[in-house]
Amino acid sequence: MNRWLLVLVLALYVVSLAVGPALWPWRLGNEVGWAIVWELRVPRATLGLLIGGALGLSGAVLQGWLRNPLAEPGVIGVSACASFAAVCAFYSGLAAAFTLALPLAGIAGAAIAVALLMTAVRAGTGTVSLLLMGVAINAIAAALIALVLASSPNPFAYQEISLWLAGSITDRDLRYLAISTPFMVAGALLVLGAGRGVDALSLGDNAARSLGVETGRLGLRLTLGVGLMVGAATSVAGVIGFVGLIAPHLVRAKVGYKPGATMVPAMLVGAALVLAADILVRLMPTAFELQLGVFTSLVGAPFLVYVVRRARSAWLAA
Amino acid sequence: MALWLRCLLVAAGLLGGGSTSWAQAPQRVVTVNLCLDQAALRVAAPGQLVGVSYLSHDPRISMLADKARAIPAVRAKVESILELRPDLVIFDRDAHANIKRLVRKAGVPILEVPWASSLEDAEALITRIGAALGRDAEAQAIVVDMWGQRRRLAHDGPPTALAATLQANRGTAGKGSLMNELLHLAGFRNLAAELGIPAYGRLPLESVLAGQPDLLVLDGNANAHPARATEFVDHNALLALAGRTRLLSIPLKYSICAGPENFAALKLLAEARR
Amino acid sequence: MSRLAARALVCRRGPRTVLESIDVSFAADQVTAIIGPNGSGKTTLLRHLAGLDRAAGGDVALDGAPLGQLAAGVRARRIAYLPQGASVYWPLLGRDLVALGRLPHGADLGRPLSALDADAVERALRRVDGLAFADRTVDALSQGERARLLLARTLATEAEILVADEPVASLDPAYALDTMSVLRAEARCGACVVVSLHDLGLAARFADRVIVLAGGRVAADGPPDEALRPAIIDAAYGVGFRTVVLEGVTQPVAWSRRP
Repeated sequence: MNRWLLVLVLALYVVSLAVGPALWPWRLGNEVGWAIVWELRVPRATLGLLIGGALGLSGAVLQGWLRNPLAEPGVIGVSACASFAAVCAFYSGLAAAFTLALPLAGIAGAAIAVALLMTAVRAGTGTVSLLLMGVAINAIAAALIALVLASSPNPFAYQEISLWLAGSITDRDLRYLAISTPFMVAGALLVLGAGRGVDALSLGDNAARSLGVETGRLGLRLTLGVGLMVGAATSVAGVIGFVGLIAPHLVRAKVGYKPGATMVPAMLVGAALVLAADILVRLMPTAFELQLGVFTSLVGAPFLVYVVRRARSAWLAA
Repeated sequence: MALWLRCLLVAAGLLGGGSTSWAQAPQRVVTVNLCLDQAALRVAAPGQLVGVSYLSHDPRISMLADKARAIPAVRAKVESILELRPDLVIFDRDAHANIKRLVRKAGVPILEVPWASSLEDAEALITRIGAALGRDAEAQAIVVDMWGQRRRLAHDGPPTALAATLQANRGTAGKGSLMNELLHLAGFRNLAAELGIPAYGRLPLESVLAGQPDLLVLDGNANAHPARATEFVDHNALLALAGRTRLLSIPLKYSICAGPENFAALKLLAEARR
Repeated sequence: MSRLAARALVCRRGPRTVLESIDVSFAADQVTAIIGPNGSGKTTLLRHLAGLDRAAGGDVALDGAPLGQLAAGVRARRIAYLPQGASVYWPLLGRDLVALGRLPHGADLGRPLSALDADAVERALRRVDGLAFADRTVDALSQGERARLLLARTLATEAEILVADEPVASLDPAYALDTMSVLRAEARCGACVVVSLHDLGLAARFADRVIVLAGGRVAADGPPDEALRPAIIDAAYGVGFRTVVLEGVTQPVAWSRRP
């Protein structure tokens, strides 16, 4: 299956490079055509690929780790927290002075949110309290974002709340690609090596430890991995929700529900979903280009309802 | 309407809907919209204007920020308007109906004026406000001066060079916009208008690059305090236009409202045209 | 020879002392049943024996070496642990669930199992009589079938020590008897089996040795006939027991509320 998914992702990547209001920029044959491809379309398509992959993978990791099919960076507030931290770095001018401040802030925000959520999980509470915690974190982060934006001297800043809560990858240049890619790749490598530990956790924390998994260290590794991926992705794009929810669900049955084996296909499906969504928002005949995050919510929120309704109480109550 | 005919009509005081003599003129006028503030600030007698919108205090978008800062700022809140005990409040016709109703209910007369989106509209607006404030002569002097400037700065012959404008959020001045008029006056074709983009539409960066305009107009200082809306100003892709496209920074305050300040923008455009 | 031993083991949970200076050792080829009323420290003792918790005093030794000094992976290969009320959080295939027991040996569910691991899984499934439902997802199984697969998961590790915390709680008699038979068969094959039980009848029948815990101390330790005498368990449980002898096995029966 992974091979076919890879082909799909690559095909969508090529389509993404080919879609834009300038149609076929290579026909210009000069540095302007080159700039359209290299400075506008390559960053956009590549960010779509990487961010989608990072979100799909993060969803799979969080769901496996928390043993909860609804855990998703957007739903449980990890993305919003990363977004808030990135907003602080961006509008304060810190990111303009020190470029890496943007992804680093996002990563810190995401990691803090994951750690916060883990305290709720460790307190032995179930799905409902995890989701309520997510609701609370989302609300707090949105309010804080509004607060920071309202204090910005840029007259347009205050209208940008929606941009950070429903992200977009339009017109990010290569610099954004450069500051986010290493972190997303590092995060992915960290969590991809942890598949066996996540598998063991499907028997619960105690059994996993008896199988030789050092769950404390595993948790630290996954927190860092998810923090790196979601933090870097969100700091350049804003919150792109539900990708981490949908992607693992689409592949889980195909891999026999093994949480470790879900990770790679979920990453590929996440990349395909974001690339496809980003192509669609460019092609949709709306007066203004729809934000990518708005589009994923449009598709993803009903999916959440579907998952909640379909999920057997046995798998949700745990 | 031909220019000479309008001259005559204005001189005769027929345009602008009945003027007020100075004795009956309102003495405590409040405006609550950046563009109306600018017009009123130009026309009003010292002390006659007792409240302007808070936006007029911002030198980045307000031409007359210095003058405005001597006058209390109001936000579009009924309380902050009534607090100033105005005897006339000037509203934009599209302003919030509820606020207008509440102000009227409080016994304060209001004047509603249409939105000005061209130089001609601006002249009509200034005339109208002049009439309402009992300051016809001052308004007329401004309008006559605007005619003169327009005659002096307008480009002869059909527009040939191609220009594109970019504002916050890659917004652009498309068909029927004020900037479109200014570009034409300066002898430029407007890329956005030719792509069929409406007055307040958006122009993708890709289209700007692909159009390879001779002139790209943006506010170079817009991203001094970063925001997603304005960060395109520093986008690497725009560097590809270097050597082909002239970059012109026109501060937002020259073109945000229709009015005499537009000639500052027109001057910059005319220089860029040469 | 005793393989696993608790040496002056003290465990605290918060301010409460759960186990006070426990000295017990467990031999291979034996099923040792740990019994005692709720809160007597059975689960705590088993968690320490499995190396999951750190002791407040004393230690647990495996072949004479403290468990805490053993690498987690090594410990996992030598001690298999079945937690109380074990559950599965994903509707895994039965066979995949059992294969999790091979993780300490380096198995990875993301790849096909090695022949060695696959054999171990097969053996474990055969021992619990679970081959019939090994290819169904666990959400489609009855609780008893699921419990058997979870036991098979523990067996698949093929560890020399097997620690099972109330493996028969909430199982109907057929499954309970099967599970105990499996554990005894493991001991007969050389494993050191430590199992906590609530059912004293099963302890009397299947265990080679019974340890009675009460108030965090060992109240009795010996063959079932000795350790399960009413004089001991009356005091431990605060209930009056009587005994019946069935096929030569003495079965304690809780009879009256007052000892």
